[in-house]
Amino acid sequence: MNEAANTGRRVDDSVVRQKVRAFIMAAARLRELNDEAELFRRGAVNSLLAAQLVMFVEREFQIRMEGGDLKLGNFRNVNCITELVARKLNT
Amino acid sequence: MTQSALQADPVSAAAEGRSEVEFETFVRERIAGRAGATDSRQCLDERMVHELGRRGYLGSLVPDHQFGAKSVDLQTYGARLEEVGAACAAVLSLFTAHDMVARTVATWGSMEQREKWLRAMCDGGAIAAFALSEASAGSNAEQITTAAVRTSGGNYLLNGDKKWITVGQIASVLLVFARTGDSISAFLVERARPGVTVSPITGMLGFRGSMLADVSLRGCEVPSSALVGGLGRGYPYILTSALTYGRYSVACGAVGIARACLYASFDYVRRREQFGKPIGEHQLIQHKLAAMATDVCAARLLCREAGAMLQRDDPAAMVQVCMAKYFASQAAFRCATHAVQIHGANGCSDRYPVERHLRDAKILEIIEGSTEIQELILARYGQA
Repeated sequence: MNEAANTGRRVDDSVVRQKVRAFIMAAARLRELNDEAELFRRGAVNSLLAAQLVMFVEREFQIRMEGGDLKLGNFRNVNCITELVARKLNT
Repeated sequence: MTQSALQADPVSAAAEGRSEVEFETFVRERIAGRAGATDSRQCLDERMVHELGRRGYLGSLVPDHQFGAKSVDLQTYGARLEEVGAACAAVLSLFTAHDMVARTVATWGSMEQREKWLRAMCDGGAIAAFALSEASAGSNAEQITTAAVRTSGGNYLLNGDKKWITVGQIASVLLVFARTGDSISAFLVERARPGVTVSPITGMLGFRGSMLADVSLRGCEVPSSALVGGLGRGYPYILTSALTYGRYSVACGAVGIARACLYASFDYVRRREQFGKPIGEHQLIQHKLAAMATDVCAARLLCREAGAMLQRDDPAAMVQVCMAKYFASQAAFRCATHAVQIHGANGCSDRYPVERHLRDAKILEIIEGSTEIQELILARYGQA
């Protein structure tokens, strides 16, 4: 369970994981998605998905991505995104 | 097949109860009639541009009527741009560039940036341009070399050369993408700022009234408050988000150009007689009309679907927009090619609008992501 120090918001990791996974599956119209599966290969889909993911997590979890948060490596799979969101919620 | 059958579109804006009569009248009276002159003179009518702002037609993608915006939903916007595309490609390009910047500022800008720019962008007091492309960076945006370096005083110093900047000649503010170390950031740069030089580009194949410009930045110093969305947000985040709206605009405008070609052809085949009857009665001409009519309807439906998905924030909207742009831009070129063929030698003359439509339609396949870039996106989509 994560609790944002400044707001007292509580978001369970499993909820974050589930929401992120559901968003990616809807965006890419996937039937299933492993949490370790590499989301990005080289090419244009990378930037589309990355932009959508940042907009989604900021809006959904009321957090602000900045500087190093925006590196594509932070968005390479569902687990990484979940960790990033958890870290931001605890900042 | 009749023209009226096509006009009885069950999903048209009018059928959905939206009154766009005023907008359509304005397009017909103030834009369509000047399209030929806009093309030949290679410039927009500045009074018309001011009137677009005064009537609240600019910046209508700024949501929730913020800062004086006369906001409309994405489908209404798409229907408007179909009208504009059918009338004049250069005005379509004004809407595309200006509104994608206004939407970007509304989405990613700070409160200070929104307060400073959005009201002016919505009333036409400030025309905005999107400054991404460079001589060596087109489809591959990561290749830009324009750089922004932080000064000891906390400002940014911009150096570089932007190319093919739509409405660059009349823009008072530019959304400039620049390297900031190993990332790419976006800056709002006033044209009047020292170090900014704008040079008109003429002699293009199509969209000749778009007032393209080269924009040179030499030691152009901007405050850190000009940075949009924070350091490193320019690529891919802001760029991709902005281009989605740009692609949607182009796709809807492409439907308009395709429609204009179809209607011009319908009109021509009734009047033009060969072998003792109107050429519309010849089956090889009917074949072309059938293909054009199907292209127009199919492209319009793809655009409507993309607009609806954008409106409801559907996660798959960005890809749907790519698909709409991919199809509609090619459909417009196919329709323009057929239209010129149907018109024969007349179609090669600037006394008939299909000649202009053909040149403009080719441009649609290149701007806001070429056909090949859309193919890359669509082919890879779903493979994550």
